[in-house]
Order: sequence, then structure tokens, then C-alpha cells
Amino acid sequence: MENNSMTVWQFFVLTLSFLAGTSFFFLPGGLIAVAKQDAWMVPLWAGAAGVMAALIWLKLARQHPGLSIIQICTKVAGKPIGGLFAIMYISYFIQLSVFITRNVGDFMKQTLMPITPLTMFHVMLLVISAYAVVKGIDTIARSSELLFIIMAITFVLIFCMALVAWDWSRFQGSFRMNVWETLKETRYIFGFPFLEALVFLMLFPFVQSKVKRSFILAIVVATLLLSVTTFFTIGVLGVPRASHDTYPLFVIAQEVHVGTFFEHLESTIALILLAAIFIKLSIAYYCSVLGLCQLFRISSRLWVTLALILLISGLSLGYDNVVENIEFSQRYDFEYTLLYSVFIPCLLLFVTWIRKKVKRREGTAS
Amino acid sequence: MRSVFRKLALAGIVLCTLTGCWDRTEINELAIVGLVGSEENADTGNTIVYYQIVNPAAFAHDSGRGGTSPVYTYKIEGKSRGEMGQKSAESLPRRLFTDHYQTHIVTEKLASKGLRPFLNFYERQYNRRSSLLLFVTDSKLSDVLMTYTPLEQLPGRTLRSLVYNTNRATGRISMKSRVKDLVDNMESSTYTVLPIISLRDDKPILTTKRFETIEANRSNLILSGAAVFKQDRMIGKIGLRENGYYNLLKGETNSFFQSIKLDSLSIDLSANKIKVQQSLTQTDGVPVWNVRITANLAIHNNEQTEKLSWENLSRITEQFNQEVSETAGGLFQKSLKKEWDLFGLADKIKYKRGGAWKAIQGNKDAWKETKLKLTVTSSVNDVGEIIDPYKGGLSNGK
Amino acid sequence: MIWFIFMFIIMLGGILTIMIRSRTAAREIVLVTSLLLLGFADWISIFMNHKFKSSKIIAILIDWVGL
Repeated sequence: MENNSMTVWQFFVLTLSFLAGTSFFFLPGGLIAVAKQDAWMVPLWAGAAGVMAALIWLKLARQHPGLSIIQICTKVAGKPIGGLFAIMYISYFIQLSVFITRNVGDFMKQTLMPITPLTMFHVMLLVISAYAVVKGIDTIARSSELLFIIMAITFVLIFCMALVAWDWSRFQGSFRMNVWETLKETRYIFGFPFLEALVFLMLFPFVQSKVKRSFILAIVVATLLLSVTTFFTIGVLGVPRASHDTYPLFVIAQEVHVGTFFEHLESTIALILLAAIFIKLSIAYYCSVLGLCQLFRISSRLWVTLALILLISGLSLGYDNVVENIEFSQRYDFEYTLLYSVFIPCLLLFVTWIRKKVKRREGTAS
Repeated sequence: MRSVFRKLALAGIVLCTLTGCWDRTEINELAIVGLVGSEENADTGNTIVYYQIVNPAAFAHDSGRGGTSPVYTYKIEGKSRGEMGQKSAESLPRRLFTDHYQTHIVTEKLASKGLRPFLNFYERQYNRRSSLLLFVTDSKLSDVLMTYTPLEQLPGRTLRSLVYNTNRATGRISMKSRVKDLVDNMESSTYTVLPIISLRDDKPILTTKRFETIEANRSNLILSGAAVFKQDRMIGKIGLRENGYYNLLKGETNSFFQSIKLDSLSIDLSANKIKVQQSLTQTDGVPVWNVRITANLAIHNNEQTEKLSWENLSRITEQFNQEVSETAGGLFQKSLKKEWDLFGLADKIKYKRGGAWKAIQGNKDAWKETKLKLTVTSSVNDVGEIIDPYKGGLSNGK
Repeated sequence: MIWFIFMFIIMLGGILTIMIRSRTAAREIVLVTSLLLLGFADWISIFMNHKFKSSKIIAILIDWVGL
């Protein structure tokens, strides 16, 4: 289709913001509720699993250079079955966009603007993302490059200011978790955010070189960031409060006091979240549009993108409140993502391998 | 040209959809809350909340209206806690705005009954910060909330300043007297200590005439002690002086005041740069809590007639170390006797590792047998302007 | 709701005219129209107070498969 491409650094930033961007906000509370003082270890093993999954994807992408997952599906499994897989992937991307959109709506409505209707946030964000999507991956990559710096600086700033409330005694009683139990209870962290990175199966063709290195590195860095954020949340907010709050990081920012001058930093943290969600949504949205375009061989993204706004904003109202959203991601997200991130790619790899074998045998036979 | 126009039109349309319009707040429509007090109606079990609303007109310089009350207190009574904020609409001409208040008072009675419902309600609200100060009062709440405070006309800010100043001067009130500190200890064995505020006389002066009298002390608010909380329930009181030692042992203060007697002459010392190290060990199956305190001392008052010397100073620090150890030890013993786990010893024991601790952990009351091993070391580094005091009549030996 | 339907019809009409005028492929027109109609159906379901909950369907499917 288009001739857009990304530099290695842009790809790295994109992956990192996709992985760490929203999860550092939504994850720590749930993790701390389950694993208490040891919650910071959970992202580490989840990240390790994420790297393993990434290796599968990279292997699959290497087998079919220059093709996205949708194209791989149709090429490997043929038109009918491959098409079905492709549609499943597209629906996954759309569902992901819906989920992300709803996250921002819930957050903004509950914390900062309680009277504004939910749809308003959704549509506003979708319109901006749609603009980015129409402009192409190049635009998304470049804007994320810029936003990433702003996000990082703001985050570090808040981080430093909140360190005033740091207390080592909050770690009293660490290293006594039941690993198996914790693993089971926090399995959703594999799905969100690590396995969600399967959307990059759509974006691998745009990167010119060193895909593997920058992708794996981004996952590792995201893992560390997530772990550090959880560690920080425990130290600053303490286990009892962090495990009861819906958005612990928001509470931390809210309670930052540096003198009587630096107070009420919650809007700042909301800014970071908005930027992160914009990047994440743009990627998921772009992937769903690109998938549709590739599957139906359409050359312009404009109309498909616009048509999707209506669908995504409608679907994102499909939760009544944040509890439903959290419940879903804790109970089903892992299994749901596993299907797309591990099961189907493995299947595709297997079929590719068989086809190659058959071809080789035919080659030697003739 | 046409494209510029089109872009402008598009920007205009997008501007119209900006979300600010829904959640806009006009400052003139808000009743800004400065201080809140809550209690329970003993007869009906209803919740009563007092909202002290700041009156901006009183602070406008050119209003020319002397005698305007700087704050107005509204009393709202309702069946449940959540109803209060909504019910305020029936009596307040402006929208209740609770985002910025920083002081909350509860009655001793409510505190003894348990603050769990209050804390849960409070933490549920997004627009309220839990970093606000929480006070307990042993006076009548309606009187406390209707007290004018001279000099600093907003009572909420007055209370906050009292805590800050006391903390800086003597360390007798910890800065960790916030709602969030109480919440932090909701699920642990560690106790929380919050300041108690009292009204000095029995009746407050209800009009702004109060600002015209020179007697600042008359019916004013003062810090009078500290309330001890086990989880969410107030279980007792300790004096301000004792609370100073408590904060010292916990390492929650940066300043400390101690008056010592040396040859029956008193010397007033204030400690700063206080460093506290704590560790829990065990000897012969008995837990020992080791606390090492190091501090720098400043001499504020010295009744001795002799010139300060090396030897004299070392006597002073020695005496300081001893008296602090004794009094703090006394507080520790008192808390054990009262079965108050003021220092969170039960939790500390629970999280210890190793075979030797197993036996202690088996005994639920082990923390009550904990021994305190307190080591205080100090050095004087501020002696004041006079090293050699005026001796007056004492100089010629009379 | 009536406004929504009204706006939707205008929008659909507008998009279709532009697309047909600029001679877009029939494939694309069909895809866009069906996406729009899907979105429209979803919104109508919201207005009728029968929300379509995509997450609930996924949850039911996963439970049914028994993962």
C-alpha cells in the first residue's frame, strides 16, 4: 500500500508507549491487592513471558517478510479459513480500541469531569486518533516520539515530587508470597499489556531494520518500568491504600505536596495518561483500519476510518461502569488474548512449516 | 484562501465541542468549604455535618463592609453520610465545593465508635484528598465549629498552622496526622495518633465583635492532647508532652523539646536533626526493640551560673540523654501496660524470619513482653549568644 | 434519538454521494456502508436500552469453550 516506514528509534518508542503507557496507570493497584509487598515482582515474570511470545511473532514475521498478520493469514491458510482468521484479528483490534477508548472515558469521567457525558470523551479522542490514522503510521510514530518525551519528563517530575512520602517500612513483610496462587490471580497481566503487543504483527513490515532487537528491548524496558512503578506505588502509597484505590497513581499525584505551591498535580497525571492513551488507541485503531484495507484490498483509509468512529464509540458504551471493565480484564482477558497471541500464530507457523516441507519434497521429487 | 477559511470553520466547529462546558465551575457559584466537622446525633443516630464556608466578601479589601463574618457555618443533619453533600442544596445558596478543604474535625464520641464508615466514604470521593488533617475534639462540636479565630481568620487554616507550628517547635504533634495516615493503619496492628482540639472556654463568642477584643485567649481553639486510634477506633488519649516522646521514638519528628534539671537548676534544650534507627532483635525468646536516637541540641535557657565548658556541656548532654531515655521508657512501659501497641510491635514480630522467631510468633501476646533498649546520644551545637552567664548577686559568692 | 437517526441519514447520504462521485471501488463502498450500518445498529441498541456488550459475548464464549 503506502510507502511509509519507521526508524528503529520510532519503533522502539511506539512499542514502549504501547506497552507501558496505560498499564503503569491501571495495573499496580490490582497487582498490589493480590501480591501485597511483592507485587513489583509480578511484571518481571510477565515480561519474560512477553519476550517469549514476541519471539514467536518475530519468527512468524521472519518467515513471511514484508507481510502483516492479515496477509500472512490469507497467504498461509488460504482465502476462506485465512479470511476468517483475518476477520477475527480485525475484530480483536476493534475490541482493543473499544477497550482503550472506554478506559479513558471512565478515568476522565470519574476523576476530573464527572458531569461531562462519556461519549464526549470517546468521540473527541477517536476523532483525533482517526486523524492520525488517516495520516498514516509515519504520523503516529512521529507524534509518539514527541509525546513520549513529554510523558517521560512529566512522569519523572511527579515521581520525584512524590518521593517525599517514601517510607521503607511499607515494605515490611515482603518476600512471602505464594507464587502459584499469585501467578493465577494476576494472570491478566500477561494479556494486558504484554500479549496485547501482538498488534505489532501488523507493523513489523514498516520497520526497516533491527526489528527484533528494538522490539525485545522495548518489552524489557516496559517490564522494568512497570515493575519500578509498582515498587514506587508501594513505597509511596503503601499496600493498604494502593490495594483499595482504583487509580493509585492518581491518588499519589493528588496528594503531592511540595511546600504549599506544588499541589493538585492530578491534572498533570491525567495529561500523561491522555497522551499514552492517544498513542495506544492510534496504534490499535490503525491496525484495525489497515487490516480491513488489506483484507478487502482498499487503497484509501479515509472512509473506513471515519466509519469506524461510529462503531467504536458505540461499542465502548458497552460497559456500565469501570467494575465491569476490570472484571472482564481480570477474568477473561488472559484467555482471550492467548488465542490471538499464541494459539493462532503457532498454528500459522506450523502450517507454514508443513507447506515448506511439502514444497521441498515436491522440489526434490521433480 | 479558501482552504484557510475551511480550516478556520473546522476549528470553530471543533471548539464548540470542547468538553469544558459541562464541567465548568464559576467561582461565584461555589460555597468553598474551609473546615468540616462531623458527629452523630445521640438520640436519633443521624449524622450531623457542619460545613464552614469561606465568605469571600469578608476578604475583599474595597468592600467597605466591616464586621462581615469571614466564615459561615452550616449545620446539616441527615440519615446517612452520603446524603449530606446532596442535602446541603436545601440550605446552601451555592454549590458545595469540598475539593480544597484541608481540615476535618470529628467528635470524640464518633471516633470511639469507629471511623470506618467515614474513612470509606472519604476515600471513595475522587475530589477529596486524603492528605487533609484530621482532628478529634473533646468539646462540643457545634461550639468548636462556631469559634472565631483571631489573627488567622479562617479556622481551618488556623488549625493547620497549629499543627505545623507545634511540630516545628516541640515535635509534640506529628505531621502524620492526616486521614491517609489513619487509613494506612486500617489493616495493621500499628496505632495512629491524631491531635485533639479543644475550646478554651465553655461558650464561643458568636459575632465578629470577637475580633474587637484584645483577649485573644478567650474562647479560642487550642491543641490539648492526642487521641490514640487502634485501626479506625479511638481507644484513649495521651498528653501532648507524652505524644512528643511517642513521636521521638517513632522517628516522626524533626524537633523535640526537653527541660532538664542539673543540680536542681533547669536547662531548656531543644533537639534538632534527630535521627532514629530502629530494629527488632530477640534475646532468650524475648523480643527486644532497639532504638538509637542521635540529636543535636540547642540551649534556649540555662539557669546555671557557671561558664559553659567542655565538662559542663558533657554533663548537660548526659543528663539530657538520661532523662529522655527514662521518660520515653516510661511511655513505652505505660503503653505495654495499657496493652496499646503504639509502635506496631506485633506487626514487626509477625514479619520476622528465622527459627528463633517461630516460638515468639506462636505466642500472640509476645509483643507485650517486648523490652525497649533505648540509646540516646546527643551533642550541643548551639549554645546561644551567652557562654558566660551574668551572675548578679551570685558572683561574689553571696 | 430522532436527531441521531436524522444526522446519520444525512451523513450516510453525504458519504455515499462523495464516494460515488469520486468513483471509488464498489468493494470499498460496500465495506464502508456496512461498517456504518453496524455502528448505527449498535447506537440504536444503546438508545433502545439493550446495550450490545461485546465483552460479555467474549466472556460467554470463553466460558462455553471452557478455558
